[in-house]
Amino acid sequence: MTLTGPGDYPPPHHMLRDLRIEFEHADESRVWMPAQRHLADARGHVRLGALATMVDVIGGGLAALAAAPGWIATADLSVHALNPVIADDRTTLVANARVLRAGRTTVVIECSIESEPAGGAVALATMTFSVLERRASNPVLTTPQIGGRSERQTMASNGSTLRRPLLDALGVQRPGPGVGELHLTPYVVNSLGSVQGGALATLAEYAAETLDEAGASATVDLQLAYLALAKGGPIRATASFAGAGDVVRVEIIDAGHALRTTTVALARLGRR
Amino acid sequence: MTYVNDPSTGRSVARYVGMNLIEVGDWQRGEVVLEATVSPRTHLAGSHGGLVTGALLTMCDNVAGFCAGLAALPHGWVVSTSLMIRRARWQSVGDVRFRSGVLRAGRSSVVTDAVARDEKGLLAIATLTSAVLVPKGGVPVWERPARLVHDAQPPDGGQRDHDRDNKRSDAGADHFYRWLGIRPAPTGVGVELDVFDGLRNPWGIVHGGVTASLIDSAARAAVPGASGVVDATVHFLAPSRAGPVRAVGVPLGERRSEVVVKVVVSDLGADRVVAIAIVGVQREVPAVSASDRFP
Repeated sequence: MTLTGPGDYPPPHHMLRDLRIEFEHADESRVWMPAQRHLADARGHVRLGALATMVDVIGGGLAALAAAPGWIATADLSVHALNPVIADDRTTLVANARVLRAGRTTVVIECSIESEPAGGAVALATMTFSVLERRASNPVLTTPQIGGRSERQTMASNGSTLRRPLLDALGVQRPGPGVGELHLTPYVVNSLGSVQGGALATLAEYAAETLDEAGASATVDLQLAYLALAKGGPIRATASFAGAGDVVRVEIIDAGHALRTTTVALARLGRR
Repeated sequence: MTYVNDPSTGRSVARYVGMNLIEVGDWQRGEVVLEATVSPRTHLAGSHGGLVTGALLTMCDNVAGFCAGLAALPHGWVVSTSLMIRRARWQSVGDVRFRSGVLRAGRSSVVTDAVARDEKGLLAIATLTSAVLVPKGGVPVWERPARLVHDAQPPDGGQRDHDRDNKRSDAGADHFYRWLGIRPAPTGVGVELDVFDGLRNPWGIVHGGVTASLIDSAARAAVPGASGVVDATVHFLAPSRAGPVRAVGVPLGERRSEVVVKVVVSDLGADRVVAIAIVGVQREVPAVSASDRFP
């Protein structure tokens, strides 16, 4: 879960700043992210993990507003690619998010992603957030964020941009096919000190697609269930084919926290 | 109406699919693991000869939901909030065995999984997120290890057949969907069903598997030449009590032989949206082999 508000998060050198994410909360919540060339997968399309990251940002912010004064934790996230987008600095991805349900125990968010200026649907995502009792350590939402229209805000700082491929920027290590590792660094943490949900999605995506050693596959659907915070590290994703079809199961464990399973994911590979 | 505490009511759907749930985990040490076996009979077969997807969704919801409920004890019982499922194969061979375990048991939510296998291996894999609630009558008490045993109900034992005049193959080919009463919506767009007591779960609301089956039908109805649903992410937003319950699918995008469909489910009697789903629909039944993993 990510707080999309002012304060000391994200830190100066952080993935959300390099992704140059901008957002506003109005009638609908909206987030913009340039389709930087370093977001590309092997075939030049924007990675599903990058889309999951922008979804997590806007969904987390919107859910926190819907759950106020309570707090939230991401329970699950699904993202389905509809049409691939070439990673090109001239293209901007725009995601609109809306609350489908704001209940006592859960908040459900739907988020559709399109591209500009070409237009057209890029992906559709849904998220469930658990509503928690507020703790003293939770960030405080400011008045304009609750019930008011916020100005368009940016997470970018002067000069922040991706200077190398997203996987390298995140520090994803590649021990072998179907495995990816990530160290807990300030670059990838969320406001709770755990690995950002979008970074975990990117790690799961990477682990899944490296099962195809020919490199011809991309992850086109991803369904993640977040089970526990990833606050130790290294964080290791292991993907395996489940059965004879194209179903891939990914388990992400926290090697620095008694090998605790932090996330499980189901992925679908395709030549999109 | 809530009858979570009465194990004899709200089980018609489980009886129809003939699902026997047996707790096999070391419950005395806090471990909750369930197994279930289903002998697919003709009333659960789809037009492709395998276990109909709606029945598979229902079974996964059943076993993972019961597992979540046991994991929520003694603080509460559960209602399904989201179900994510992927189907690995179309045809099932022999008995289908389910195994469900707890991925996370928190104060407000429980995450469980369900893996379905037959003689040939994996059939489907599902993850269920459930919210922990306290029923009006109090938290149910289960004798442990828990057992819920249902003999398969005769296919036409006192059931209704809403769509016997239905000419649409997507809603009329399978007995399971006829038992649910799924029919084309009178508007010509989507499918719907009436709510009767046999479709309610122990909370007195429409069973999550029934809603998932309606979603399966609506997604296929939205895609010309559809053969079946390969994956679904279902969010249960509100309970269905009144009916009729209508599901409408809208194709969003296409990739090779698969179409991504968004399905919205509404309880017309309560005038509200009760579920939303993102569904992958296959246009034709694939002959998947180990060397052809990526359609």
